[in-house]
Amino acid sequence: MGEYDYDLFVIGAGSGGVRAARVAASMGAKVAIAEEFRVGGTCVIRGCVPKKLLVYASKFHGLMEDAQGFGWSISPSSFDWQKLIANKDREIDRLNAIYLRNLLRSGVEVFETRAVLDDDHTIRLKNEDRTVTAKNILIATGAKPFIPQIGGAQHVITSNEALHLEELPKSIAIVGGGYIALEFATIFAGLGVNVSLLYRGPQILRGFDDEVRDFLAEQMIKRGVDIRCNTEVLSVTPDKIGDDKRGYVLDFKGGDSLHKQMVMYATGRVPNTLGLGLKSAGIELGWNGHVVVNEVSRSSVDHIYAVGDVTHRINLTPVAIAEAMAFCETVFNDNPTPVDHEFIATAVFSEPEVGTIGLS
Amino acid sequence: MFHTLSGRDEQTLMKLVVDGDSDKVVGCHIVGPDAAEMVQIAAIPIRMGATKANFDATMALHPCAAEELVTMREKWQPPEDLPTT
Repeated sequence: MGEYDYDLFVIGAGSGGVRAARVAASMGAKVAIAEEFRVGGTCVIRGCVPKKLLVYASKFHGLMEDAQGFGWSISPSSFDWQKLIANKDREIDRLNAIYLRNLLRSGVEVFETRAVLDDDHTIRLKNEDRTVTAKNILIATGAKPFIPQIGGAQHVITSNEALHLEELPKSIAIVGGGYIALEFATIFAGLGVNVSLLYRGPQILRGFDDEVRDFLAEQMIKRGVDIRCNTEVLSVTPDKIGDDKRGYVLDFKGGDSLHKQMVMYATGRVPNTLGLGLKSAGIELGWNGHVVVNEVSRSSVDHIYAVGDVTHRINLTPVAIAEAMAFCETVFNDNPTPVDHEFIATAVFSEPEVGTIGLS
Repeated sequence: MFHTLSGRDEQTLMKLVVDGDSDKVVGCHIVGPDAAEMVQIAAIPIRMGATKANFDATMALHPCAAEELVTMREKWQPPEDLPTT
């Protein structure tokens, strides 16, 4: 090695980054990883895992209703949101600790700081304000929620905040028609919140099988979710007239409006590449700011790679992990290994749940 | 995953039996929630003669129980004191 501090420096300790760091270290490379928020990334900290725990929580209401048909009589039940969130957070803390421990046990050096590129071999550790150098760099910074420029955008929450609400609202408008919007509509509706899902397109789950889209919308409406397609929200304004002063008025294109206590936007996610110094390192970015990579996850700079959501290929944890494994094989075993992105099964953890693979 | 919050002490058993010579998956055994649903689907690739490498090359669906079927990496080793037949 000699001239560089590390064989590999990974920016972002999510599903892809953690796997790449551990595997590269096990292959004998000297590895460091930097994370500005919490080790574990979107999936573990504010995505798949906490989401699915809340989905589990949301199922009991319906099950208790169903139970009566099976002879059970259920006495009046109550639900404690704070308790659920505390228990969920404890589980996330446990997983976060496991991820951190596994990194350290693999011999990976962990920097809990934001890291940016000064040039194509130099990484600046922001908290310590010093630089380190690496022969290879892996960008694995993931993505974050995107909120369009509407009037009152500062009043809305995203999935990040929805996982940590201090109190469960009585009513919520969820804007968006993708899987995140549908899963949170399921969670809130199951917990007794009055939910309206507002989507500007003609039907939810764009890109999915058309029969799946129609069927799911029908079933969710039957379960009490107010799904309104062809509905474009223009602005969100705090409501100061009604009794509920903490509410908001959503104004739609066409003149209609709606009052809800809370507004959540789930209108897509954008890659985390702003301010990372990628351009100064000569890395080509794509139309929505993603790192452009080839079939072995190599960027436009030969020794800089990117995996996971930041590359905006297929934004799923197992795909990021597969890309990370293939990256290690490519770089540290001198065996160029592409990832096969065909026939990937995915699910929408709505109620009812959707599972899907292949052509429609 | 469900029981991380319920607190119930219950785990799921998932087992693939692989022929060491051909790498074919020749058995799949599951004890736990939705075992019947999972094994019915696993029956198709097993009938078709899929190998463990085929299972491993399949992308996981996360997070679910069945993803273990395509992410099993370490071979089960019999305990040393197990009598050999």
